[in-house]
Amino acid sequence: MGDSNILAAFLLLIAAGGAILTLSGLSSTALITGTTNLTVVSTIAISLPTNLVDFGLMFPDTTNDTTDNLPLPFTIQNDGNRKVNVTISATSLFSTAVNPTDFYKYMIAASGEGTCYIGACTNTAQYYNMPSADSLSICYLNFTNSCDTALIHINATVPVAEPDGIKTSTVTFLASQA
Amino acid sequence: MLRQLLIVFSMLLALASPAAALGISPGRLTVDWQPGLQQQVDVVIFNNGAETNTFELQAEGEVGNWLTLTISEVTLAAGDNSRVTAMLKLPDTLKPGTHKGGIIAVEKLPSAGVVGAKLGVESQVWVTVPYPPRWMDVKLEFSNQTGLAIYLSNPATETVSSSVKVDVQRDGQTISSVDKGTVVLASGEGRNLDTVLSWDAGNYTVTATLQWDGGSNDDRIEFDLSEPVKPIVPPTRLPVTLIMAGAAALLLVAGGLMLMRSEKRAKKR
Repeated sequence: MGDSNILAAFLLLIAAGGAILTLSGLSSTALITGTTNLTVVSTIAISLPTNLVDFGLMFPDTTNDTTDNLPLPFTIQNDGNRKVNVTISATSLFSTAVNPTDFYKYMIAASGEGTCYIGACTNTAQYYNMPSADSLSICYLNFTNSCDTALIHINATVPVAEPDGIKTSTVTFLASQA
Repeated sequence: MLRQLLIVFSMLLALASPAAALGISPGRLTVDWQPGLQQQVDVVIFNNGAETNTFELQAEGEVGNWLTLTISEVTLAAGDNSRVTAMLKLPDTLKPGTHKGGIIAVEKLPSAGVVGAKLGVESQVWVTVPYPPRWMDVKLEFSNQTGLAIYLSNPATETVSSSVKVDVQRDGQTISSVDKGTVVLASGEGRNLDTVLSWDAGNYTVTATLQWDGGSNDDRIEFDLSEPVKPIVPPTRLPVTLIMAGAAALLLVAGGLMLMRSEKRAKKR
């Protein structure tokens, strides 16, 4: 077989291949699709954008709270990708009134974003004595950015017999998947 | 006196570090129970705050008893994360149902002179044990407002008829042992049992025991009461016939009075 024959056979082969590609609907510009799979892992994440409640100076037998925004209440925010339940517990604020006590209370309230939790099982509408052990206080706090916060108001009444000095309490917020 | 009145208080509820934020993943791990199962559990802790922070780790709940953490705390730079490992070793026998617990990461505040709030997150670890065809669950709860609540439910596939007994101990002494009779629940049904009791101050242990043909279950709670509790008794519903009879009696009395008045007026005339 001469070179010209080999060339002709080669061209025929290419032509035949092209015809097959054309017949099968394929061409050099055909799109091939694929599938990408991934699984987003659930993450429980919270933060306290407003993390300071400072009542300043108070006299015995007086009460102050945060419903007038003086000082501002705590704000808790759900930064994760699941609705969360939040428990609250705190160390005692006063030496003469151990938690839970009427002298130190909290209340959950809607933030400027609206009501971002389920009210039925959230401690809203009235003050509750601050618990010493974890107590469920916010139910199903939403995680979408448009509404993912709640306020925690604090109410403190200084017992008449409380010694003077700086009073401190650590409030613990624990979030878990709802 | 004036000096006493002028005693001032400074109260602070503040965070030790600005804008603390943390996370944990996954939110929940569900494990199917197998006798003696041993499994590694991994969680990732995120420090989403703006500063380096240390987080204390602990296992909690019933499942926490079967979890062993390899470390007790972790320090993370801002924006950093770390994988934490625990070993889960399940018991050889477990009651049917879902057993709950998990791994908790809580901010560790600097010790001295710090006041404020701590944030914590939990990665739940749930262990599920399948129900047999016949099973009844019992759950006890106590609150100062409503007293003792006993909730029964049938999560299994067949109807169960069970006896219910409630034992109450105060300060280690049995003060009440009540047979609540037989409760029949079809599959998927639930029922609250009435328990209107007054509670004196003391340390209580309450146990509810269920017994049915081929099985048993129980639940126990403990609570301390510093002062007596008298739950609010819900108003009883009067039978309609009783209400109607009462109304009829009132009408009869009113009618009689009117009759007497009219007779008096007639006599005066």
